[in-house]
Formats: sequence, structure tokens, C-alpha cells
Amino acid sequence: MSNVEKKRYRFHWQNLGDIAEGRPHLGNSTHVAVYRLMQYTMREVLATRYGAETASDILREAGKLAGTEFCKNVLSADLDFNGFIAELQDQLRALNVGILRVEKADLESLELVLTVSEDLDCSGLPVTDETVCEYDEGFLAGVLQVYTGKKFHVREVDCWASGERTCRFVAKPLVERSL
Amino acid sequence: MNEQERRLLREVTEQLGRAARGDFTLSSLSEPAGAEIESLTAAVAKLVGELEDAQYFIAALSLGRLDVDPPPRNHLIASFKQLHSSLRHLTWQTQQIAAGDLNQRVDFLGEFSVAFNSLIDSLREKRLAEDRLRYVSNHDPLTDLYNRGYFSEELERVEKGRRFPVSIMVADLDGLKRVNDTLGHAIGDRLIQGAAQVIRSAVRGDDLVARIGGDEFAIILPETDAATAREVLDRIRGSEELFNQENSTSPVAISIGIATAEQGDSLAEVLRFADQRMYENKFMRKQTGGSGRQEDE
Ligand SMILES: [Zn+2]
Repeated sequence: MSNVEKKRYRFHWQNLGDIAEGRPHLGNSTHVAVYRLMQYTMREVLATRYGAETASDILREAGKLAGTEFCKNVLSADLDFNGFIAELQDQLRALNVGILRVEKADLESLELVLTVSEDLDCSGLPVTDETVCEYDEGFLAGVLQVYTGKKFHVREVDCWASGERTCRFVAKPLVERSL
Repeated sequence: MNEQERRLLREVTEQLGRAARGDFTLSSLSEPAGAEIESLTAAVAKLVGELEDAQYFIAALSLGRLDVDPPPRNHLIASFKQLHSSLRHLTWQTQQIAAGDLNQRVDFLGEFSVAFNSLIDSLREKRLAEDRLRYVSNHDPLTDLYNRGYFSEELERVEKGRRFPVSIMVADLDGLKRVNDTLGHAIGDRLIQGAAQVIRSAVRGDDLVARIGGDEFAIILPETDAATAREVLDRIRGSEELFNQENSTSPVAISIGIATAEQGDSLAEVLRFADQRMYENKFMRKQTGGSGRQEDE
């Protein structure tokens, strides 16, 4: 993609539109199934065309972009860490994305273990022995990167789809490789 | 089924029986078996392995060993894993509470949640009461300024700090005794409140104003040299003038002395010096009939 095209397709928060104006009767909520229908059909088409691994990467990257913009537009990056996590918890709950909990937060190394219950993407999915929340992995990585200024690696170690009741994410800052 | 197959099936059955009693040692079949029995044995071995992992994890959990991670992809322990996760989160929440965050709520552990949340509520009430108590013990109730005790503590803190030069002002309300004696204490109190208002409206956010005696106020001005302190003084004089225009029936007259300290000076000494200058100012103002603005020094 050329730079001009890249610019033209750059996502902006305003792209989400004025929902109150556009949907005066239907409002800003929809059925979770609709969200999942969109995500899992998209995933299938991506996987068919580019292979499962690339499809996962694309979803992760999109999630990261979403997390970055979400943090910039919805969260207050000037709070201390605990305040920031509390706000993230409140927002994810208010938006019905999921119930975020902290299992471990090492403020020195910035290593976190987070769980998300009643997750928008996967809770209730048939068990397939695989984790499916790459979008969430990217989302958390994006949020944490904007807040800390450091790149993060986020991995979903447990998922509803792999047979657990909650999704569990391990987040660590990426070690900058020196040349 | 032939005799050999029957023998092998009995071995597999015994294996399952041992596992049910908590013995997870796996023994291989005593004779070679066909594909079907082989696959049954493999499935039993997997189940026994998962039972063993599950038992280890659950035993650790029952002892409160939350550092033992649950075995991955083990569906036998799903509910225990959720409990483990809840307890870990609860641990984190408790650490947050210990660090002062009283906004944590627990909503995933049934009746325990109710008890825990009411514990936090009572901690919050206690903290509010402590805050109120601290406020009362640091403040002068009449003017809402800091009191003498807090001023002395702050003076020590500032002396040990790095925010030099530090200027100190001492301000004294002229004629309070006369007003108290002739017009009564209620009017005298109003005068004190007026002086507090005059001073407070003229200082900056970082300056600390205290009422340190019946008619005496002191102000700590961190990172303020003599010239800047002089500007603050001018502002106080301006504010005094404005106040007296608006309250012509009960005007205030304030005598003020300033001294400035460099790093290493004793602030108690500098306070005495400011106090002395305040008396000089008061004397001068008496000579010039109370106005004496140009005599401030
Ligand atoms: Zn998941």
C-alpha cells in the first residue's frame, strides 16, 4: 500500500460516527451474536485466504489498533497504575465487553496476569481446545503500550474455547533487542 | 473376546480402580495387546495423568498455595481453576486495599463478598473520621487557616527541604484587644476572619498561611526570595485596601514583617527576625497614624 493510501485508510475515533444521531430509535447496543457473527465470519474468510496463522496475526493487529485508540480516547493515561487498571475495569464492564480482573501485577517488571470473564468474543463458544481471543490479546497490548510507552507481548493462556471458564492473559513488556 | 484379552482388560480395570483410590502409578500391560486395547490403555493413562495433576493442584489450592499454577488444558479442574483465579484476584484486591485503594469491591464470592465489602465500607468510614480529625487538629476553627502546631511542623519540614530561598512573613492584626474590650469578642472574631481573608486572597497556592496566636498570623513562602516576597506583601496591602473599602465599618489594619532564609539558615531564627520586623512595622504605622504603607520593610 502506498503512503497516500495508508493515510486515507488511517482509523480515527471519529470514524465510529455519531451513533446517537444516526440511530435515534435503535440506540448504541446490539446483540452479542451480531458482533460474533461479524468477527467469526471475518476470521474464516481471512483464514481461508491467508491461512490460520496470518488470520490470527491480522486479528491481533486490528485489536492492537483498537486498544491504542481506546486508550487514547476513552481512558485517562495520567492516572497511576492502579487507578488506570480500575478505570479500564470500569469501562470494559460499562461497555459490556467483559469482567476484567487482575490476578497479578508486578509494578517493577510490568508483568501482568489478567483474566476476562463473560468475554464478548468467546464466552459460551464450543470448546475446541484452542484459544481464540487474539483480538483481545492485541487490544490489551495496545492499551498497555499507550499507557506505559512500552511495547507489550500479550498471550492468552486460557480461553473459554480451550475449555476454561475465564480467559487468562499474560502480559509482559517486549525486551528491546539491542543491535 | 479371548482369554488374553480378558486378562488385559482386567489389568486396565485394576488400574482404574487404583486411580479411584488415589494411587496414580501407571503400570504397562503384562503382555502385548491389540490396537483396541492399546488405545483403551492410552486413554486410561491420559485420564489417570490428568487425575493426578488435578489432585496435586486441588491439594495445593486447599492449602492456600495460590502460587501453584493450574495444569493447562485439564478440564477436570475447570471449577477449581475459577476459584483459584477468584482467590488470586482477591489477593490482588486486598493488596490494593492495603495500599490505600478503598474503591475495591468483591462480587464473585457469594456471602463472603457481602462481608468483605462491608469491611471495606467500615474502613472507609474510619478513614473519613481520621481525615476529619486530622483536619481539625491541623486547623484553626475560627479562620480555617492552619494552626500553630501544624505551622511549627511545616517549618521543620521546609527547613529540611530543598525549596530555598524561603521567605517568612509575620502579620499582626492591629488594635484587636481594643475592639474586643470595647465592641465585644464577636466583632473581634469577625476582624480576625477579615484579616485571614485578606492574607489568604493575596498569597499563592504553595504558600502556607497559619494563625499562630490570637491576633498573629504567619506565612511560609517556599522558593521565594526577598524581592518576590515583597510582591506578595504588595498584594496583601492591595487586598487589605480593597477589603477596607468594602467593609468600611470594620476595617482591618495589619502590621507585617518579612525575612528571607537561604539553605542552611535556621527557620526558627528567621521567624523571630520576621516577628521583630513586624513590630518595627507596627511602631512605624503608629507614628504615621496607622496607614504607613510606604514604611513596610
Ligand atoms: Zn478467550
